[in-house]
Amino acid sequence: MKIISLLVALAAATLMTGCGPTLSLHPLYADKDLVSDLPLEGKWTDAEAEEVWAVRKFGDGFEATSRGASDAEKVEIHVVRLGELRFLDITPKEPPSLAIPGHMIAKVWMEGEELRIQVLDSDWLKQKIRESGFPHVEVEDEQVILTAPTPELQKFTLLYAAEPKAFGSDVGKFHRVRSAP
Amino acid sequence: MKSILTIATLAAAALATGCGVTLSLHPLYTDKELASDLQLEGKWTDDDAKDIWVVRKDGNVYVATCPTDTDSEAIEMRLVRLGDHHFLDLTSKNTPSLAIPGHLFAKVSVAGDELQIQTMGSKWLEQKARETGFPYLELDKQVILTAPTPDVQKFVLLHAGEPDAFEDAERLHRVR
Repeated sequence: MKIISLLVALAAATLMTGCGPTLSLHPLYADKDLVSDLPLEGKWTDAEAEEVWAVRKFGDGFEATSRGASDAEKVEIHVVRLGELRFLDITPKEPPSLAIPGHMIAKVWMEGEELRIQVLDSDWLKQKIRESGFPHVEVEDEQVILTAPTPELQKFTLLYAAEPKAFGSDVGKFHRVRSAP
Repeated sequence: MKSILTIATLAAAALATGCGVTLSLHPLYTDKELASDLQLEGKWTDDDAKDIWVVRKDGNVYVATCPTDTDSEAIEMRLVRLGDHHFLDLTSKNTPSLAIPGHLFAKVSVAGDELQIQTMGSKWLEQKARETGFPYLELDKQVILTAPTPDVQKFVLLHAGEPDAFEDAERLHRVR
């Protein structure tokens, strides 16, 4: 599966309901929250190895490009430190002019040499924000868009970071692609 | 060249200069306002006749592409009838999965072989939203209207006759 598609699928949205993933209009980070202490640079793939994700440093974050997928999306990734945890803020790098970039939020950590990514679960999120009144709008196909500014988004994310249902049960596991000697 | 056909380019340029195009999160239409009584399909060009844009109809959607310009973006257009006015709801055809379709609104008319389009002014929209409290939020470089479709329709219709609300008319000619 293509990697961005996999992350979207991990958010459960497209698989369970057919609607798009829950995205935020505001980023999860201010400049002071950005870190670069995870070894993200390089080439990564998942167990199916259909696609290689090339990650390179770009500005204060990273840029990731798919290789092996004709309709691949190029994305910008920022690694965000909130408390003791690391999160990814993933957004399209060059969206079309009449599209509004969304920010996908995921927990990230290394387990040995494996990169692990757990995306905020869209179904859980939808229920939680409806209950709590966390600022959002619903657009076509019941896709939920978070509209809270960055500080509130950070508090919300950190509050539920340890909640098992918040980040779903599936973990994206990626291993590094080593170049042939 | 300035035409509806270069809206995507204009939007990109606006973002690059720090003045983003004001877009709506919600469309201007529900199914019942969609119309097809203007002859939008066909090939169009402007006075320069530099590029030709092709408009095809696919169900309720008109798709505009510019085969002569490989850098151009395909745009989806819905023809919307509100009161006695025709509007276009414009959005990018290929929105990535991590982006949200933004909707740009324009007045539209066809007279003979001339297509006339007037997009709503971004600066005017931004100012009016601030003055009236029409729901919006501000991103880094851009104002995004967040009102639901019925409220957007009322707002657009209310200001449809205001000259300042719309950019100068862009005129395209049908290519026979």
